[in-house]
Amino acid sequence: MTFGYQPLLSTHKSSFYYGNQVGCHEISLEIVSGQFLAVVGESGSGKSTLLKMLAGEIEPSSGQITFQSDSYGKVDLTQLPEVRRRQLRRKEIGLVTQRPSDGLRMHISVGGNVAERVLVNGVRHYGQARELARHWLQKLELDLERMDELPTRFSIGMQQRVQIAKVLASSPRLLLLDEPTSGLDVSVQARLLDVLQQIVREQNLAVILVTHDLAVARMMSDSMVVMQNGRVVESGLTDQVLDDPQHAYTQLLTSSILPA
Amino acid sequence: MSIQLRVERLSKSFQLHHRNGQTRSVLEGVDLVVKSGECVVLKGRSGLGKSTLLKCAYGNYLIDSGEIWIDKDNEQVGLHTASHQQLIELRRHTIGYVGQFLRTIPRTPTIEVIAQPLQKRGFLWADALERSQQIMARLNLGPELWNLPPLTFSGGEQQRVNLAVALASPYPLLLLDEPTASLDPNNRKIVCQLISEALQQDCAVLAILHDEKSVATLATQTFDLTPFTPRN
Repeated sequence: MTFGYQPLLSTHKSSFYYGNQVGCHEISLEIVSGQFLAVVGESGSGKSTLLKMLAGEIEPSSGQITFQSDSYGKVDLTQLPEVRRRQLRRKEIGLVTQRPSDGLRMHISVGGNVAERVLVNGVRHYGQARELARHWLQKLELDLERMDELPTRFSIGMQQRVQIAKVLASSPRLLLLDEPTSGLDVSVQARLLDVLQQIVREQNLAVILVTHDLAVARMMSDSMVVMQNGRVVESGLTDQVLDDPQHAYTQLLTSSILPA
Repeated sequence: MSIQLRVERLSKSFQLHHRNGQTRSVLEGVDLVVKSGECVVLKGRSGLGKSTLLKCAYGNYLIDSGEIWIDKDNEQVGLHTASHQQLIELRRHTIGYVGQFLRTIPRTPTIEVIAQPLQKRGFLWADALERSQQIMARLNLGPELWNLPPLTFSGGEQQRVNLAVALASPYPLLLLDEPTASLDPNNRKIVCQLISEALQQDCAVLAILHDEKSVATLATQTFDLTPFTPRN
């Protein structure tokens, strides 16, 4: 098939060990702009370690992570100087943590949290930054009347949307989501997923979504990797993995839940 | 007429790791060709693997052995060896699948459920919306439904949304798993009409159809799967 595509990010045998404990072992995957990749597996399977590695928060013990950067071209994240890696983390790669309080500064206002990110990325004028903050908060369907309140006064679901607004304000190309909807009401979760999907389509983002919720994975993702004990045991198109699972562990996962 | 789908010596089994590793063989050595403009209807009692064959041809099920060749713009692409990205590409442009269930994001309005795949296939958003409206109107999905999410719809309405996605601009290969199952006679007639039009536009159709009337209207050939199922 005459067919060319460029993955935005790909890993080749990337591993991370906590001492001699396996965090994740020889992970190879790729993600293309405009697509969702779901990473599923039970807690302790290495999903979050993988995400931290991709976000550049921890350095892989071995392997490569190739990223198509706007600023630096095609780079191996593991070889990049820390300064540049931090730059990428602030701008091109956005990590949304499971607990919003880990990704937000809780003692500054909601608007401030978002505007700060915009200012760091080169917008000089405070009024302009505030305008951008308003734009993203509105996109995430948050009440602009409340943008000067502290995040602590918001519900967890709203805090999560503030965190996502903050990350999106720097116009990342790759979005890393760590269980973004766990602990949210079903209705709040549906709303968040809907908004996310819309933004991903508009901005042509690549998204890696870590979740243990197979129904969410089915709804949102194009492809999927299944992790167990730090290893990828199965990967494929999402519906194929869920409907015709090959590995014993995937079969266990898909049979232990209500139909996704 | 060019060959749109060619299945050769296809075998499919399911290994159940948590049922003592039992293997259930479903299909063995299926050879099948569907040409453009043709509607091949699969025959055989239920449980014989008709849906399984459609799912294999969509890449939803992996196959044990054999080959599945799809014509993509006059080039033969092996579904059995395609990469994930190639599969996504094939599904986006070449293969349309209509199953029994509709899965969508809870709040997305019906018109967008239909228009989004069109946009991904290269239609401008305005054109995609217009085509979506046209196909919904033909399928008796009135304007009052367009901006509602399809999860609020009845079974028959949801099935017509599924069909609308596949028929708004028909894919070169249509895989239809009982597309008329939960429809009343009037809507069934409309769906048959739309499938006929797709055939006239040289689409290839592989279908499971249970009502005799639809089979009589649409089938250019029937294909009995009984010889390809293992005798246990």
